[in-house]
Amino acid sequence: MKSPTLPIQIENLTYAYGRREAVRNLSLTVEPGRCYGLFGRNGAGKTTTIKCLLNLLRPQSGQVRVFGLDPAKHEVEVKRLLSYVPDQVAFYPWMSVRETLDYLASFRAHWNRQTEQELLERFQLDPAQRTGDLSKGQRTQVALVAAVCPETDLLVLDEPTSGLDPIVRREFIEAVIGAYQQGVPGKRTILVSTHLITEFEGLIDDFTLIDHGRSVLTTLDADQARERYQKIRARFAQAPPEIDLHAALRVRRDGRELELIANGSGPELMERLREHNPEALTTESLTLEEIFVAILKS
Amino acid sequence: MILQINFKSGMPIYLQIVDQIRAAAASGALRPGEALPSIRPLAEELRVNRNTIAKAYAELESQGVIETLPGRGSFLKENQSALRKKVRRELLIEDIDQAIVQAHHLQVPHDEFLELIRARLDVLDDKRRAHEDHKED
Amino acid sequence: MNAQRMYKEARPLVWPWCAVVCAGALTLVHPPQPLGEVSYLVFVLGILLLATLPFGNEFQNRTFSLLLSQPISRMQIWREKLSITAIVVFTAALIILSSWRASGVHMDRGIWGYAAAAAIVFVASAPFWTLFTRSIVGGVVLSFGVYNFVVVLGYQVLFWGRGHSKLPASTFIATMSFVFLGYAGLMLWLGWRKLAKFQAIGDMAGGDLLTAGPDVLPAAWVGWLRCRPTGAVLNLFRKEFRLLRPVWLISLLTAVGWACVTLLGLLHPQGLTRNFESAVVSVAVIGTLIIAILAGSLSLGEERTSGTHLWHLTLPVSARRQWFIKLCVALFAGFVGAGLVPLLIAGRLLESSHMLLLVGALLTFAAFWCACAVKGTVPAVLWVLPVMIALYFAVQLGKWAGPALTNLFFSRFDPFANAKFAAAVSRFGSTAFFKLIHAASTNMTDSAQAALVLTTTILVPTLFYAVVQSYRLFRAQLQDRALSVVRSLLPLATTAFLCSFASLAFYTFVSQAAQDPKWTALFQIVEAIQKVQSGAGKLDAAHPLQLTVEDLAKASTLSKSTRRLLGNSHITLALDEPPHHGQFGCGENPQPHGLSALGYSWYSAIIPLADGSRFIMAFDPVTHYVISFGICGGPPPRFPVGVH
Repeated sequence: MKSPTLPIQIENLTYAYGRREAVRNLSLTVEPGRCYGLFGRNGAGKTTTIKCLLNLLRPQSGQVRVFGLDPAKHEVEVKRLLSYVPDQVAFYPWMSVRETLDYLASFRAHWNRQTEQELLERFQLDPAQRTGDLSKGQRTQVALVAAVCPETDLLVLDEPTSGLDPIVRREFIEAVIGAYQQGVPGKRTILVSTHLITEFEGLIDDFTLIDHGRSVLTTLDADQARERYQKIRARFAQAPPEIDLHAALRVRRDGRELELIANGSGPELMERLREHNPEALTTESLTLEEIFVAILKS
Repeated sequence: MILQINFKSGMPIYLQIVDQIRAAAASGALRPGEALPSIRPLAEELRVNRNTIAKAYAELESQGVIETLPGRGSFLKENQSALRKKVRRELLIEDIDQAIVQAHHLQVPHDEFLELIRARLDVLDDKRRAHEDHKED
Repeated sequence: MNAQRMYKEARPLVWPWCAVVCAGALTLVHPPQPLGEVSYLVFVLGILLLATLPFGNEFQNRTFSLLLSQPISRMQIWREKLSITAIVVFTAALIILSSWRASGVHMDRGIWGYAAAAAIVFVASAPFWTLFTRSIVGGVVLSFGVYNFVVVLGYQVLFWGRGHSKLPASTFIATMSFVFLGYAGLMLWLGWRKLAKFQAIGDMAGGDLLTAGPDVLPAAWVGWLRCRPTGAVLNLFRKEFRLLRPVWLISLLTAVGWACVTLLGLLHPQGLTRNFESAVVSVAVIGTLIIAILAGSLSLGEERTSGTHLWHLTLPVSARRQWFIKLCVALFAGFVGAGLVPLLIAGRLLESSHMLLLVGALLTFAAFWCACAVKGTVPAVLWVLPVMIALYFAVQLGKWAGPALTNLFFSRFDPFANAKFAAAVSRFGSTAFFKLIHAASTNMTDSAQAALVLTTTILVPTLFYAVVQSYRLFRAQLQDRALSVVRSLLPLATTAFLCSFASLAFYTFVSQAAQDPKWTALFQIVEAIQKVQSGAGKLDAAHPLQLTVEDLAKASTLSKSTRRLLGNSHITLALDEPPHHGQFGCGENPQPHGLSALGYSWYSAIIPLADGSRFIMAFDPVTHYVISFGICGGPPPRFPVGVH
């Protein structure tokens, strides 16, 4: 039974460009009010998935539901309920910032002028400047303003901060937290697709990993993931004998030192290592980016 | 009050915030009746989901550490727990037992452990005194 | 239908619309025959371009995905784009056609019908082809190419049908309209389906089908076109050939069009009515024009838009080499596609085939220059015509200014009083350059070709300057402004003006030197006397009119050398009567001529010259027809150059 109010529900999505399959049997669910991270390497299929949400691409098989609606059949309805910041922002170069925002506002029933004003001031954007003369970071900022002001229930961000300088990246995230997450907490859902995970670390509630079009991980809660994934380092007096470490996700030996990545079996592995009396034994949790690297490299 | 999130600690973010606020209250960095930073600016500064901060504040409220007045913000409560003394003692005993188990695993002997506890209590007292002096200035 | 959205749709079309309308309405301003035909061709090309722009601009700016992500249904998008296309195209067409009518071009119903059909068909089919190829150039090329097929085929079939059965003209027209409307309807339906099912594959709007689409060539040719790790120059050539893929494609389509034209010509050498012939031939000619313009502007235009041009300037290949390779391949493509192919296929149908080659080459180079001066293929294409017109006017201005200023000079100064100087200067009259200009300006039978030869000769330095300028512009970082083109155009136009001015001033100067001053004086005196006579009343036999040199000078300009020859003579103007009546001659032995028997009365004037000879003329006072004139006494004057 599908709950009709789930912001995004994708089941067995498949899309191929000609013969090359970009997305294969992908399933994911986004809960309302949460921030969902779609992580993957370049070319993993993140953008393709997002384009299927917007009916920019039509899936060959599988089902996509946005707030219970099929984007192919109820195109306008779906687009009214969400707003989108693409990875390559392009505007009509002869329009000024003001004109572009007015143009995009004309498609929306609701537009918060005050938020728009605040964000323009915060980003220090000149409304009279032509979008063709803006830098890449500034264009992304305009796109974000245009996405936040309609105050939709779902915000979709596709690689929003790639190619931007560190300050603009921070401002972007602050604006998402500050301006978008107003209002009723359960009504503001975010889907972020990115490979720059460090910045979004604090924002993400749930995430999944896509590799070569397939989902490599079931959806994980970010806090739980950080608890489960641990990096254990041990140093021995002599080169250690063979230890049964198959429970670890990844093992790295370097002379007398041993590094393990554990997925939930941390305590068990620690016990095994202690049996061999290591000189030093430390454990620490992994950040989401390190989890990303650990899983995709193994 | 400066809060810091450590993504490597394995502890859920909201719990980290709860602990840090409690530590601040204990050391006097945060005084009873003082206002906590509001959710939005704190979330923007830490670059953390607003829901997380909200969850942390909700947890603190349920523990009786802070109180939220609608429209005015959240304030640190006077150190008056609603729980009975016996219950409070039992809660503390749980945490002490955990610390003892950890000491065993880390191979810290009995006397050293007691030394450490005394030392840490002294540190907290110093901090509190420093904040008191600061207040008088 | 949101007013703001319609404004946003219309805004980028304003300048192209103005350009097309001005070009098409040129006939109002100055209709010499070549420009009139040009405006007809411009009409078709301009309408086509305007029809592809609404969708094409979205691809150009990569904003199609932005539009598709908004909460607006695809039907709404389709309606808005189609209505703006219709408005833009039909208003432009109406204005151009009305201006033709107003300037007196003969407009029969056939032309109206054909123009209306073209407008309707382009509005209906351009969206589909633009969506199909995802680019402006592709939309233009394919909608024109397919339309070419439909028109030619349709005309072929129906003409054959008409020739073999005695159907009345109305049935024929009805069938043709049915074909047109059917095609238009089909294209509209296909276009809507294409938009409804459009998928934004790839980079925001998808790659351009023509340049980036799948290869249609056999594998061996594709293998040659693939770049190798060594041989940078050859790779550059390969890249250029690949970039010009749309041009090869439309050359193919136009070649088929020309073949059909030849077929028509062979089958019905005398039976073609004007409408069919002009329609079919013009379709092929327009294709040729498109090829020439695209060949010149496509490669650099696309490279500038996609950013690869800037990247290439950072590679360790000299910019001059890259520019030269581009220029060579562009000229080659223009020559082959727009010149050689039509000639080979339809050679016997066309007279003045060298002109076609020359025009093709010039057009290709003009398009190349424009592509160097602006950023983008479409702006380059739009600037070709204004640039050529500007240059044409500069040359015409020089052509007028040269003789005018020289004559002004002669009215003040008399440099040829010194006979030796005059002889030295007149030796230039035997140079080839002089003879060429003379042949072009006085040879009336082949005026178009002569004009072209003259223009080309005069423009050789201009061409040289343009070539150098195109290299400098090739390397420059361009702003996206129209003023920069004007800034580059100004020196070029000035050079053209100066060249034609100098050439014609030289020509006038030398021919004046070569000419016996007496002949010049002769013509000026004739003109002056006629002017004086019309001012005076009727003369009778008893009262001849006495005039001085001053009276003549007041009536019309006399150059200094004429005055020198006249000196202080007194001119007698009288009704012609015996003993000179009906005779011509000097002095004692007048020769009779036959006109005396006709009973006309005419005036005769006797003008004594400073060196003792006399100038006698007789003319009809009413019509100013000069019956006879001559110089008596003194050495016979040399005949002016060119007069037999």
